[in-house]
Amino acid sequence: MRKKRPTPPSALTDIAFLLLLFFLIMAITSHQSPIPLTPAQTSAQKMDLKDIPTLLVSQDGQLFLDGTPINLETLPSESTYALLADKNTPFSVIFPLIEHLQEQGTETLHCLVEETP
Amino acid sequence: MRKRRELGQSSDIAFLLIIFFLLLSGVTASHSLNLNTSNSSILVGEAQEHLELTLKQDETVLFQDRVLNNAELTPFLNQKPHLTVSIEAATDWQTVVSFLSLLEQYPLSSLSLEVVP
Repeated sequence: MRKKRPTPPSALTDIAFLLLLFFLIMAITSHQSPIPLTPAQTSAQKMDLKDIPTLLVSQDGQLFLDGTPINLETLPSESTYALLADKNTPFSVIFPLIEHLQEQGTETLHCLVEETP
Repeated sequence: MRKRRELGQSSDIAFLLIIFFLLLSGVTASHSLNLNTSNSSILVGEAQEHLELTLKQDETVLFQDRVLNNAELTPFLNQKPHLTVSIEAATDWQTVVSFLSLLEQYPLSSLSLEVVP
């Protein structure tokens, strides 16, 4: 009978390394925007927006809620929303959304931006 | 045996590097400008001044048809006014965000946004 060799500890770190890579790639792909979008740039404060629903507005006015296409009429009522819009989107496209959110009782809108270096 | 040990050490370093970059990307995740969309824009008292500015698509700011630069805006905005910003419909989101970022530095009583053709 052959003697069983003990598992070297380096093999375990190799597995952990691969697992981390897997979760890292999963996290990156799950946070990708459904539309190509260039956020506006300015200096702004850091916010933890983990539990806040995010609205995406494309340059041509397409609206997405957490990556899913949605209409203004079917937007659920929330007290806080995060808004990520393309920097070239005209204000006339975004304003009806802000107005609608105001009407349905949204109190705070976090305008997501890219921090200027 | 010796070779296998070296391989383990390099994967340990890679493992730590990945954790470092993972944490770093989490810290710099979201920057946002907060826009209060509640009905605080309605004037309650007459104590504060009501100020109306127009933001044009070429990034100029008008007060009673007069162009104001940032230095000229400061005394107006330091008076804690109820501010209404009329934004030209074609103004891009980047211009609006830059102006909102500027307004964040001043003690406004309320901020109301409007769109003008």
